[in-house]
Amino acid sequence: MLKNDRTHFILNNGLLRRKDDNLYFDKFDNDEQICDTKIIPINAIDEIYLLTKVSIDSYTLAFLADQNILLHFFGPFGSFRGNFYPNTPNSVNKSGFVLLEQLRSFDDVTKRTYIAKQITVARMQNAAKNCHKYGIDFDEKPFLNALEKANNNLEIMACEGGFAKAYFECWNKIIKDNKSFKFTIRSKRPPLDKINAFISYVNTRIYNVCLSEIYKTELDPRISFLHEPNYRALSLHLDLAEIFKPIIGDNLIFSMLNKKEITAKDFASDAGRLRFTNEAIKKIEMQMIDRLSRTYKIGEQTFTMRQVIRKEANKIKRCICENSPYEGFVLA
Amino acid sequence: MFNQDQVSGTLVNYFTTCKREAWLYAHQIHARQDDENILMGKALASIKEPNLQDFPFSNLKFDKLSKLKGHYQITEYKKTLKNKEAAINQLLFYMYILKTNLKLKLISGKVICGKTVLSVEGNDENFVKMKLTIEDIVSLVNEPKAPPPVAKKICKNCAYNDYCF
Repeated sequence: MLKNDRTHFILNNGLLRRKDDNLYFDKFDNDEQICDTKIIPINAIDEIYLLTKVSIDSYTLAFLADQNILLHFFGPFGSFRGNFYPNTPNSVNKSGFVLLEQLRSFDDVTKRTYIAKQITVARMQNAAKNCHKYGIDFDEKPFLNALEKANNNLEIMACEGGFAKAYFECWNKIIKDNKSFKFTIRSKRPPLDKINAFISYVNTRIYNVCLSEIYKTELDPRISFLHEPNYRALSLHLDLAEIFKPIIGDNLIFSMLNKKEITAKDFASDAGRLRFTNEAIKKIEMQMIDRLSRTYKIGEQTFTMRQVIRKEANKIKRCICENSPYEGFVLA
Repeated sequence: MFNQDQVSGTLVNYFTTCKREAWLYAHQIHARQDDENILMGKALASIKEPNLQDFPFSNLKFDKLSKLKGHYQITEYKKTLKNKEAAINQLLFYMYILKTNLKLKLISGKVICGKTVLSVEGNDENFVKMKLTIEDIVSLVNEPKAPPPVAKKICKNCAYNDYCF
């Protein structure tokens, strides 16, 4: 069992290259001159996040594909730009059978609603657990009851919207620093205040983790059940992230803000857009890795958070392929 | 429709071990690729005779082919021999395919694990059994649904365990 998180981040400009069946990174200084070279051990990583300007050639990419390593590319403002994911005989996501079953499940309204509902139930229960943990009186029962009666995705989404509103209202009670991080309304693209910028950053990370775990199974990330898949490229990871956002993301935000690890000083304004400084990103990523490698016990087996996410994807896969009952992961 | 040509050595091995595993594997539902045992198996598979690629039946993916006193002998390396029957069946499958396709008179094989060597004889009795096994596999894979999971002792170390349970 893998206990550590096998993710590598590149935060400096440079050149990523293959040499002798291993991966080297040449760090560039301000004049694009090599100032440092280090080895990235190929067997110790599963994915690489490229957050800066990094040069890479086809020889290296082919090598990474052979080793089943996933790359995530980010634009200059920290916005997600795309993945490079291996498509060699070595990679696993090639089952026509699973794809067909996934499409059939999507077309079957009863089954689609069932999966969407189970995901939302897990999301609500996990979010309510967060409130209870911080000693806040929050009753999720009426929302769960309303969800029970929902017959289609629109109604599920409406229940979820009502729940999210009530849930976010609790945030001001949980977060102590109400001066800099007061939650008024959720805003995206771009996030308008610091708390929203924080939520957006953490959520993007969780989406990516979910996506890379989905890529390790045979599910097609284009077809989702809770979200409407028609108008975007990939969406299944958004479904999966619904369950894990309260567990990983929201808890991370609460604890980092309440311990004053992230303060108003960690934000920089860039042409009207809020972004984190490099130091802040390092702090958040350390927390993120810590949270992803914490272990949880399910039945008799112990899983890291990342493996729990993969197991969740596998549970959905099994529900799709074999009609077995599906229940979302709820933190014990 | 799944047919006899699509049966592979790994599938025969899985079929002997667990019917559900075989069904899933044939439908390209793969086990966890980062499982320790799977990684070790892959590393073992990479110790191959370099010139095997030129051999016309190289898609069979056995580990070693040698000529012995005028007849062929094939070798399969295994990490453990806990699952003896499956390893033998896998080897027997390679022998069966080679024998029938190349019209060989005599073929033998061995499974090597550490210092233990298991010899497998290519006699008619074994080949008739193999023929029946292949037919069983084809009919199993053509079932519309996977056989339901049954918790066994071996499930603990199986890379499919996070899918089955």
